[in-house]
Amino acid sequence: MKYCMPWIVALLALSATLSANAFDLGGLGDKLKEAEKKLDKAKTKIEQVEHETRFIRGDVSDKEERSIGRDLAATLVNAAPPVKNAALQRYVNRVGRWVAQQSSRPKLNWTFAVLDTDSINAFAAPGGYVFITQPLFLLLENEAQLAAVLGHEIAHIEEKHHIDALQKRSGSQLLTKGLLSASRDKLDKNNQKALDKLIGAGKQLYTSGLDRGDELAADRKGVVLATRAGYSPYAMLGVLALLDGIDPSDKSMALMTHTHPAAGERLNALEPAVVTSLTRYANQPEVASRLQKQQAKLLK
Amino acid sequence: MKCMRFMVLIALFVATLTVAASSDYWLVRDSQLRSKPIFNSGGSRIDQGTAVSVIKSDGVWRKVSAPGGKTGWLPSYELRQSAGVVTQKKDGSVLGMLIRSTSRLFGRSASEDVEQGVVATIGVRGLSEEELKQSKPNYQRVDQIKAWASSAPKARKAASNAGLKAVKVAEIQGASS
Repeated sequence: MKYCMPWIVALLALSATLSANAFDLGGLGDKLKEAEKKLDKAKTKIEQVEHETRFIRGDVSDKEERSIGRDLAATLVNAAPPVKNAALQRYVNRVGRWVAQQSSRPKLNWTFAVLDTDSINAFAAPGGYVFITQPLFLLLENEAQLAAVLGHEIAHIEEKHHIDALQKRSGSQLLTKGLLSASRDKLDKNNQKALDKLIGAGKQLYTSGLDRGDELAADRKGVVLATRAGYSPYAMLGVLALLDGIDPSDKSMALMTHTHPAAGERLNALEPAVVTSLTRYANQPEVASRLQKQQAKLLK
Repeated sequence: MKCMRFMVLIALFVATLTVAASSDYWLVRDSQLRSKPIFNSGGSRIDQGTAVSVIKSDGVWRKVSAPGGKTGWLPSYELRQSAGVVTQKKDGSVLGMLIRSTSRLFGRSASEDVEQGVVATIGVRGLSEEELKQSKPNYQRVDQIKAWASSAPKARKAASNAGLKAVKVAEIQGASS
């Protein structure tokens, strides 16, 4: 209904304009121009409503998702820049891309980065942006654990958890059609306002966290992705056990503690599923040497 | 420069050998030293940071010997081989933060390092709740990271070099579903 209303309104407006001026042939050209303008305005409105309706339905194109993701990722990397170590970043991208290839969205522009911060955490932004912080990277024991952490974030993107949360929490007002195609350098007033709203909602999401159910689902899906990529299925359990051993009140853990279920709770939820369903993959490798080589370079 | 790299590799290699030879593992969190390799088989409490030696493996389970002559079973993912790379350098701020936050994990000696003032700066830069709230999009920075992205064939080749093979794995269900 919401879909058709603007059309009906536009047609009524057009017919009213035409009928009222049917006998005024002298002013017909002007009136027609005016009517065309009104029609154009109505069309623009319809496009916006269609766009918002699609967003409400969760029907966001990959391109639109990437645009939203770029805005949110740009906000994250402003707070914590990527570590300036191209070899490390390329290594993490190769591992991440391999895991992402096992997902249902292998063709996204998957982009991974290690961020320079003291915080222990990992983040995803829509459209294929995945970040792991340097301290979390340093705490890992092998590449299988890295694959599991990246797999958890890839799962959030695969399932569009952030897009869903933005829709649920902020509604359609977040996105104007113009914003998605507009260059971020030259935004007009309306688009700038829309962008500010989107960034605000994104920051809210990263500081308050996704739903508990989404986090636990991403744990399960992440393990499956890493296992499909050939890594040990127990790696994520190792990461969660390690995180469970860190004092949750420590500053480095503050944001993760605030935005995720407790590591012990996540481990307890994941353990039975992994141990019963994935035991046959228990002999898949952990690949310690490559990760430890990159860690050693960082600590030099 | 090349020489330096070589020395680091040698040092890493020696460190790896030392770890492997000592067969020391650390318990990453408080757990139960179980009498059988079964999750709810009961057992005695074993503290985080306890050093154990692995005697035997059975799937995800490791039979370990703990201080005081105790033996029992722990799941492999609760064990970590020594403190690994993380403790190889004790003068960096990042590492200091790690040692501090994992001091319970890495035992008393690491805590002492912090207490002795080896680590000068301890704080959270960059991704605290407050800093995130203040952040504004930095498009130049986010577009720069694209240069590091990997293609699918390159990723596949790197995986294959480590002996990784893609396998079919069905989705797993959560306890509540």
